Amino acid sequence: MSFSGGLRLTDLNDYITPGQECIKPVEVKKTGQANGSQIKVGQSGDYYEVTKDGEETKLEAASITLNDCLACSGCVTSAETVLITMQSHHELLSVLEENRRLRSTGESSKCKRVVVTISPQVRASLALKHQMPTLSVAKRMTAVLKTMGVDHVFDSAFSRDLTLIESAREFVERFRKSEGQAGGETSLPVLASWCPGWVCYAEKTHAEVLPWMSTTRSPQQAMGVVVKDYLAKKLDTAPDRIYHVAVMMCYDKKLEASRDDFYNDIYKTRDVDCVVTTGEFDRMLSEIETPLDSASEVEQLDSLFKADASGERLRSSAGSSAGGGLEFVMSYAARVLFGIDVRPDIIAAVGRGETQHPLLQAKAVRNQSDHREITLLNPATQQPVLRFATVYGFRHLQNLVRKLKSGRLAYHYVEVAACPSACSNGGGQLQPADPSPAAKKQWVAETEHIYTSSEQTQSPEENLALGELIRDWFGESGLDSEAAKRALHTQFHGVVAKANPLGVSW
Amino acid sequence: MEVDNDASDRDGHRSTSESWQCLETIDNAHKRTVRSVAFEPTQGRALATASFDGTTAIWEKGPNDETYDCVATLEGHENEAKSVAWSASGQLLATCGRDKSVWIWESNGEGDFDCISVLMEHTQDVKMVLWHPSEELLVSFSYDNTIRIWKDEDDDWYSAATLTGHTSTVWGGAFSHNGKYLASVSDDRTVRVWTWGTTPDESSDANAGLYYRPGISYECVATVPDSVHTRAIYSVSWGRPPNKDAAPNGGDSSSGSDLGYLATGCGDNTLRIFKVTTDGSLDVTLTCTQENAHGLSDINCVEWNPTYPGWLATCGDDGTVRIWYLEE
Repeated sequence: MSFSGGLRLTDLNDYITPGQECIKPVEVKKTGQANGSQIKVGQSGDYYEVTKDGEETKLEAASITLNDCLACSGCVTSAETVLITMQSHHELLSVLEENRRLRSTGESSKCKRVVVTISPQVRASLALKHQMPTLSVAKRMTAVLKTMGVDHVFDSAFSRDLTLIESAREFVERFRKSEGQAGGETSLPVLASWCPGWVCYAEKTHAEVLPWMSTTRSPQQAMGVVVKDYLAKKLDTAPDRIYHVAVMMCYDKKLEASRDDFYNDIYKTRDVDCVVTTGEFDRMLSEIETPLDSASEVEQLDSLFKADASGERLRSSAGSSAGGGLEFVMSYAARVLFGIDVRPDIIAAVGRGETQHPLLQAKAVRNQSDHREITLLNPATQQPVLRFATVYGFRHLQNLVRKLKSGRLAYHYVEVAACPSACSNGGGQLQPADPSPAAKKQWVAETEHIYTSSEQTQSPEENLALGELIRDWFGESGLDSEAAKRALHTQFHGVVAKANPLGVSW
Repeated sequence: MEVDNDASDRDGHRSTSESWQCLETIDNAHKRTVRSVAFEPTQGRALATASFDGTTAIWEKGPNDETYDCVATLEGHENEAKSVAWSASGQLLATCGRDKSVWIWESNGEGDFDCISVLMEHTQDVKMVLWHPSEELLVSFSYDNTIRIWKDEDDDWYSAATLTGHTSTVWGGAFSHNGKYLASVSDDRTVRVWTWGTTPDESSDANAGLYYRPGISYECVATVPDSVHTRAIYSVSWGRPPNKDAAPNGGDSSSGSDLGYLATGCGDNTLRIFKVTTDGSLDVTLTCTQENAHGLSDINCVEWNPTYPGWLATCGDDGTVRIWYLEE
C-alpha cells in the first residue's frame, strides 16, 4: 500500500494523539436544556434518555462508516489502510459473481450494469511490463473484462478531454476576473486539483491555498458523472443500478472516489463505486488465470474511448502523465485571451526541451524536471503574458505552498502532482523486478516515455464524439449551462485543526 | 534562550574567573518548546531554532543592530521538530522531527530557504540531524534504533546507508574532527564509533546507468560497553585534539593517532570524557568522570568549543549551562 508522499506524511500515523481525535462532525440533535434527564442502559444494550417524569426515549447510536473515515482524511491510520484494501478487485469480482447468480436464477432485471474505466497511465504501465503496444493493452483489457461479465469498458482519456476543456474555460474566466481585481486579492493562480494526494494534503495542512484550487473535476470523477448521469439516462437505468469501477494508477484515487462531494444523495450511489490500482488489476488477472499476455483482443473498443475516427487508433493528450492540463489550458488561453495560436503538442515538446518556439520559453527550475516553468510571450512586445509551471513531488509542492502563502508566486497556472514524475509513478503502478532505486527510476522514465509517445495526440476540441456527447447531455448551451457547471465542478473542505485539548505545553 | 553566568562552586567544583553575560533573550520565539538551536557556521550571523510547534525559525542580526529578527519561518513538519543543523558550507539546513521525516532546505540567497528534499525513510521519531564537517553528507538519529546516512546524487537526496547496532533509541552523535569517524550515543547506554567506505557497496552496482546512486558500506569500529554509563546517554561531542588547527582536514592521518576527546552527557548525572586514539584499531578510553555535574540532574547536552580546545559547555535538567575546562 503506498499512498503518495503528501498523504503519507500528513495522514498515516498510528500514534493518535488527543489532538488527532476524530474530527468527523457527527451531528447530534441536542435540546440544549439541562433538564435533569438521566441515561439508562436497557436490557439489550440500547441507551435511553429518562426524563424527570420517567419518560423514556431511545437514543440513536452515532455511527461512522468506513466511507466517512476515508472521505474525511482527518486521520488515516494503518487500520484504515487495511480497510481501504477492501475497496479492491475482490469487490468487482463479487459484483460480477452476484450478476451471474441473478442471471442463473432468472432475475436478470436485478443485475447491475458494470462499467469499467481505464486510465492511459495504467495502460502505459501494463504495456511496459507485458511488452506490448498500448492499443493491444486496451483491446485485451476490454476482452478480458467483457468475458468476466463487464458491460462497458471506457477510457478516462475521453472524460479527460471534457475536464481539459472545462479547466481551460475556468482558467480564462478567472484570468479575466483577476484583471479587474485590484491589489493582492486575485483569483489567480489556478492550482490544478486532479491529484487527490495534493488535494488531501492541502485540505489537511494548508487550507489557506484552497481558494486557488481549480474546481473542475478530475478525469476519474468526470467519467463518474458521465456514467451515472449521462449514461444512466441513455440506458434508461437508475444510477444506483450501475456499478462503476475505475482502474487507476494510485491508491489516493480510492480516497477521491469516497469523497462526500462525489456521492449522489438522491440515488445513494457514488459516481465511482470502486477504484482498482494497476497492480491490483494485474493481480486479479493472475488470480482468475486470464493473464494479459495470452488474452485475445476485441475487434472494437467501446464508444467512450479517445481514438481516431475509425476507432482503430488511440489518441492521447499532449503533455506529461499528469494529464496534459498545462499544455491545453495554455493553448486555449493563448488563443482566447491573446489571439496567439500555439498548439498543445508544441507546448509539450518545448517543455521537454525537444524543440524551440519563438513565443515559448521553458526552464527546469534547479535542473529538476519535476519543476518546470513554461512562459508564453507576447509576439509584439516579447513580454511574458502567461507563466505556467509544473510542480510534481512533495518537495516542490512545499516550495509552491510557501511561495503562495507569502504572496511571491509568479505563476498563473500550476499543474500539481504529489508524486515525482507525476502519474507514471503512481503508488499503484506496476513495479520493476529489480527493487533498487536506480532500476525504479529507469522504469518510471520508460513508463513516462510510453505514455507520451505511443499514441498521436489530439486536442480535446477535436474530439468529435465528445462534442456530440456534450450537446446531447447539456443541450445547445453546452458547457455554459447550469447543469454542466453543477456536473463538472466540485468543492474543497479544509480540515480545521483543533487546539490540543489537553492544553499541555512543554 | 540565554547563556547563564555560572561560577558556582556549590558542588565543590573549582570555579573559573570567567564571567559570561547574557547578550540577548528572544521572547516568544516559538509557540512551544525550543528544542534545538544552531548558529550558521561560516559567518555566525544567522541562527536557526527548531521548535515543538513544528516550525524552524531563522533569525538574523542586522549589521549594526544588536537584536535578532526573524527572517524566515520554515514550516512543513507535521508535529514536533526536534533538531536543526547547518551544513559546513552554510548553504544547506536539515531539520527532523517526530513525524519521522528529515527535511533538507537550501538557502536561496534572499534570506529564505527552499525545501529540496523530504526524506521519509525512518520508521520512528527522528531525534537529531548532523552534517559532516566538510562533505555534504547528512546523518540522522532515530527512535527506530538506526542511524541513516544521506547523500545526494543529481540534486536527489537518498539514503546511502542504514547503520544498525544500537538496541534502543539513538539520541545523537558527533563526527571526529577529520570527518572519518562518527560517534553515536543511545538509550542502550552504549557509545558506538562508526566508519564507512567511500567505495560503493557491491550490491548496488547492479544498474550503473543514468540513475545510479552509490550505497555506502559501514562498520562499527568501537563500542563503549553499557556498563560504563548507567543510564541513557543523551548527548555526545567530539573535541579536536589540542595540537590540530581549527579547520578540519579530510585525509590527514599523518599527524598521529590522537583523535581528541569524546564528552558524553548522561541520564545518570555524570559527565564523562573519553580519550580516542587510533593505532590500527580505534581505542576509546575513559579518562575523566565528573559526577553530579549538574547536581542531581540529567545532563542533556554537551558541546566542545570548536575553536578553543579543552573548553566544554554542558546543560542539564537543573536549568543551568555550565562551562568546563579539561586540564591535560
